[in-house]
Amino acid sequence: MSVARLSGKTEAAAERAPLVSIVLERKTFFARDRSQLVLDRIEFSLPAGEFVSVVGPSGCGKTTLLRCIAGLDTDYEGSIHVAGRLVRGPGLDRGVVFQEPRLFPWMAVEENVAFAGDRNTQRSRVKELLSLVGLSNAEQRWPKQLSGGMAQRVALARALVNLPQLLLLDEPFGALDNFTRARMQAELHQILQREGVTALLVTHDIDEALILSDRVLVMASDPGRIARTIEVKTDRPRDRNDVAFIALRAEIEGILSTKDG
Amino acid sequence: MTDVISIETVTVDSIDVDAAPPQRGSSWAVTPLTLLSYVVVPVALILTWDLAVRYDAVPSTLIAAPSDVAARLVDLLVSGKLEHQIAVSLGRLVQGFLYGSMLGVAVGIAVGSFRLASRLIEPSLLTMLPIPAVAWVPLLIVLFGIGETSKVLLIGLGSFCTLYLHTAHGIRSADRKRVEVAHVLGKSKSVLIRRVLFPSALPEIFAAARIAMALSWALLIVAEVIASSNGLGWFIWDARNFNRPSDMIVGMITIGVLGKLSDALLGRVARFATRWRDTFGG
Repeated sequence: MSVARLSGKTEAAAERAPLVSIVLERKTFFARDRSQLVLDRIEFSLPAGEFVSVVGPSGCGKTTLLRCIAGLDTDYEGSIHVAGRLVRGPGLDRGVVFQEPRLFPWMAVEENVAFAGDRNTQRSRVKELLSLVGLSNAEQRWPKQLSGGMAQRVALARALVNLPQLLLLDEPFGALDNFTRARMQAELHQILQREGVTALLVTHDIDEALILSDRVLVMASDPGRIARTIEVKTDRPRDRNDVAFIALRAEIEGILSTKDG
Repeated sequence: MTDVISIETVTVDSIDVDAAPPQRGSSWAVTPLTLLSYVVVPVALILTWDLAVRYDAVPSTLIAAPSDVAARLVDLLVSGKLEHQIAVSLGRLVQGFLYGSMLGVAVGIAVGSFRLASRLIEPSLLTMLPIPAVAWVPLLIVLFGIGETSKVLLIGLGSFCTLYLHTAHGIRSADRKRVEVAHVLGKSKSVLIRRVLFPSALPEIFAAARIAMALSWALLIVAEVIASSNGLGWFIWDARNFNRPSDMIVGMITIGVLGKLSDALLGRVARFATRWRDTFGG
């Protein structure tokens, strides 16, 4: 099944028709008597199969941007299209992994993943995903019996059950220790390749963005906007100590320190 | 570039099996503490009582000695008279508790989940709640007479109020972030209620059920003392009227033991139904 999907995706990627197009003119937060412009003219598109990261200082509106794409926030000026359809609310064409695993503690691991699907979701699909994230032998465990890394793997499996075209990741590894984070980053790349999913990752970890992405959007705050787009062309798996990698990191740090001030 | 997920690394994470909290030991094991709480403390209480009667600290014509009570307990059990009263009382208690609780949970879910339901009926319910259940007795008797209906309704009323209030609160206390997950996954309101809101309210619902059970015992005895010709409440009141001090205490002890058993049963059900919780547990 996933093989067929993968080849379909590859064709789509070859055409380079944007799967996601975002034209977000303005997003404003209102609090009592004052309003604050949070996002200002964010425009970009994602071709199918691409992995794009959004990095920026905390409070720059990157999570808000992700929530708009997820359809959790629809109060903005502009339009977001996924696979040609206007986003009016949440939809199964988009999977979301939040910063916290947000598992349901009263469901065993397998139930948590199966819950995301519908009546037609096959048990084999759930099992396949759990083995893909390396949790085949934890299917019957309660979430309280999982480590932070394991819980986030379950959340990833849950987000993939419905074969989303776009996976939205909101600092999914932010709460993990360095070793677990590095391992999850490597695995995430392989999982997304296998599932043929386009992904948008929001993070404040520059290395994470550079390791995973084809493109990095660097944001500046007040109001949140895209300061620069950086293409990452080096081969994967990427080495943090590679000269090109270090240069890109320095470039992004430079952008963030000037625009952030 | 490798295509296969590296199994070794995955296994390393999976070895981290024992994030699970230590299991409780079997609660049936006889420890010195069990012995103390179930034997030594009760025996000391009975001895004090026995000495008080024996040395006329209390009049023995009004208060029975433990030995008399024990003998009477055996008599009543052998003759089946006590069992009969127990059956009558438990019938009322279980009916009232179950009907009242189920309705309370249903209304609590509706009020907690639907704004319209809460707008419509919550003001009235919240005005009704401060009226003690006992204050309903006269009205219930006027409406339904002194038969079974008014007794079951009284118990049901107490259970309903307790369960309604806590269920509505439990539903509203559901974690907003988890509700958002159901939203992202496109779940219907009915799925949201059944699989997210209700389970998250379960710990509070069970805590309320135990309070409602204790209240149900109190209301059962009140109803049976006020207007009844059978049941444990009637039995102890009748023993006072006809000066049978042993019967009175047999009745009281029976209520105490059954009350303890019903609470223990609910506690076990609760612990099983919410075994997914990651709590201190005491």
